[in-house]
Amino acid sequence: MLVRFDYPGTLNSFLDGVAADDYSSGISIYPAMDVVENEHASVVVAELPGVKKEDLKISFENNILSISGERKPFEIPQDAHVLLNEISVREFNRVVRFSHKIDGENIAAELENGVLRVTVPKAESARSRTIEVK
Amino acid sequence: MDGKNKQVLVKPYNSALVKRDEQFEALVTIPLANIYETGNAFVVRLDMPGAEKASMNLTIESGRLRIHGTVPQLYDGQASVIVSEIGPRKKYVRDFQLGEGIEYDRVEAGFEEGVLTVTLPKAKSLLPKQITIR
Repeated sequence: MLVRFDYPGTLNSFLDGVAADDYSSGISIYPAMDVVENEHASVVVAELPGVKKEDLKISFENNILSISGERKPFEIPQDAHVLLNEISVREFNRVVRFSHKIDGENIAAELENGVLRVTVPKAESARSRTIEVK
Repeated sequence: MDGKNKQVLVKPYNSALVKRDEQFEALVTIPLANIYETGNAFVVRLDMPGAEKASMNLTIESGRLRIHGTVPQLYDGQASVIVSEIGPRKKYVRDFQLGEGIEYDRVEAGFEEGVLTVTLPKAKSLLPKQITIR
């Protein structure tokens, strides 16, 4: 219907007709994303804790939504000893390709509590409608 | 800083990322953490994207620091889900074992960009001391 993620053997099998690309290196998916859809728009939700607005770039071209940026390392005092380091800091680039027409002028994004929400409105022609039988 | 002290003073309990927790009777997510130590404090950082500041709850009991936060629904429940990588994420819980060298009364916490920062000051008895020779 909407997007397809190409990483090894996970979602493709059961997300029939859904298409997207992951150009990031490695197998692990980062950031984790949800894509949901209603009558008027698709919403792409991505978990980006610790990422600042200015380190995030969102673009839309050729019906492809691209979310890229960088999670920068935490600032820690010079004399600090690191005891545990589970959080990875890295650059990221994820792409969602839409198969229906998008109202590109009205894409909106918000970043709150480490969660990015991009609302991608469908073009008028792509919205579902009920056809009355005359 | 004495290397032997580190593990005793702040030790994370959980290692699995998701587990069933008897107390909360629901699937909980264990947030990833970083810990560093300076001359006068331990600082714990946890990735808790989507959690609301108001839902954050930190308790210290019997030398155990428990961090708990709740994530509201990330999108309208009526929408159809096309891609789901984030998964159901309702509650973050993680415990840390604290040694006796922490001043519980002066523990501070802040939440920014989905990252919780907890500062655990060392007790005076642990701080480096200069001894003057008379």
